[in-house]
Amino acid sequence: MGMNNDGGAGAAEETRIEFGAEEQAAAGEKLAEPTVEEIKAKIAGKIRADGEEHGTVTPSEVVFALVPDSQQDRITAILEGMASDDRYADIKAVTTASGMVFFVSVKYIEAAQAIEISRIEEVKFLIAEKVRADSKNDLALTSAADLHSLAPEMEQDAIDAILEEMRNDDRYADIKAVTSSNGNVYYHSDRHMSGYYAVVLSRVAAKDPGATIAALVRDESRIYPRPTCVQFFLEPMFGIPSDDLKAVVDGMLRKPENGDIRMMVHPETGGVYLYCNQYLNGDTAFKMMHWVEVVKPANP
Amino acid sequence: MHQAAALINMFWNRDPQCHTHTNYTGNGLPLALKNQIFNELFGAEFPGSADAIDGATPQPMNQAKAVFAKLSLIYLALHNSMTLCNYTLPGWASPLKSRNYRGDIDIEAQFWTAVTGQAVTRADMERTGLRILTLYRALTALRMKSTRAAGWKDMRNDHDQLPEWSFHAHSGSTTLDHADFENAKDRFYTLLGWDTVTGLPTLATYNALGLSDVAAVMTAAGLMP
Repeated sequence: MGMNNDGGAGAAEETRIEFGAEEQAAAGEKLAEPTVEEIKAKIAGKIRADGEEHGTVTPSEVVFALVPDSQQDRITAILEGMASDDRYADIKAVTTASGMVFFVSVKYIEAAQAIEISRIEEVKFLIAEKVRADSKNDLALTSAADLHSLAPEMEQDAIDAILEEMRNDDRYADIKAVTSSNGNVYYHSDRHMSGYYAVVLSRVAAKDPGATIAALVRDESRIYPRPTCVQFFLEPMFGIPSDDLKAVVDGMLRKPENGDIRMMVHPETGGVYLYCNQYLNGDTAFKMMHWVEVVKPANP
Repeated sequence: MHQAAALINMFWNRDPQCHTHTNYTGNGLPLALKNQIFNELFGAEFPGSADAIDGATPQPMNQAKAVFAKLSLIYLALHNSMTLCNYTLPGWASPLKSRNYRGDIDIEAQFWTAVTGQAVTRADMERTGLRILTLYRALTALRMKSTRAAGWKDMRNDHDQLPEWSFHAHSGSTTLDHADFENAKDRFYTLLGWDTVTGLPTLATYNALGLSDVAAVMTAAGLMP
């Protein structure tokens, strides 16, 4: 009469196997270091393949990653050696205005086109870094206008095309879009901000705090389910001054479209909670509120 | 889930102090994910998939809830015996997205093995928990019999009861249904290897759990179904 063994045991074994594999690799045979000539050939092969197969340039960090750790300090010498070697005459470097370096094989991509492609790759990088920084450092969404300022010489259509390319690029898989209720599009990095947090921020950006509150209350009642304490909306992310909260909630409750949102006040503590009666009935919502307000604090 | 809580409550003679089930239902994960994880872990015991945890609207008793009640009691017994915290364990789920919110259901077995050097599996631990519960059931029945008339052995109707107000609507709690609660008992007794008429462990159960000495005492006391 035991439990289903698969999920937990499998997960545990997978963790142990991965950990064990690292140890085994560390204790395993040391592979022979590639020669400089082999490294050069590998670099050239990558750059040419990117050009021929994908019509794109190769970022410098991708090239550098092809050089073994033990020879990273010789990268410049290796690349200079290639520059003076006729076998690699087609391999060129493009340096953008911001100092980013891309490599290209002019056998497959002409110089002018390489410059254009490099600028696009640079913009992708700048967009991703901006979005990631905003998400990580400021817990904020990045607006489309903010992104356009990174490439002022480009039309909005060109920026949109770049963003569309990024959607299908594994390097930028964490860059996600979210659309506010007013139609504005914002971006965030899901490495640093969850998708739902971004959704809530996009609602806040629409500058209708009552609608933001109602939507979140419906979500909580549906997903968990649980009622929502109104004190939660004093969190900085909502931008609602404490003196305004009651008026915002009262105004929200008066709107006909919010007829499914109900308010409860705990008789002992005075705690104020909201719930959506599409997903929670009053008794269940009260029980949950009572747990949070009275039972849980009494059972530390 | 209210039926699982009712089964846990009826088993004990005072506040069960069982937090296994509330730890899980109150772990903060969305309801759908809680049930998904529970079904992944224990679904073999209730094929056909049924949610152990109800949403806002209470649902009738089902096999998943019976399994949930059984495991809640087993792990309470284990944690009590191992002096592990029943307020935080078991670790069926995790708050970590990196673990896909899945916990480690082998924690108790790993802990025992690490501390004692005795290699045990989760199945070993659960069997031990079931032994503890069955022994406790026997002790409870013996105590009940000591205050009852000769020939008594009706744990189901005499001991496994809840106050009548539990079956009537009252604010702040979920109402039980008499027929649904009896269905819950049937499922629960069957899972534990107890007779569904008397609510007493059977001879086969005592023997399977290595409690034949207990079976002998219960037989002598007239408490074998």
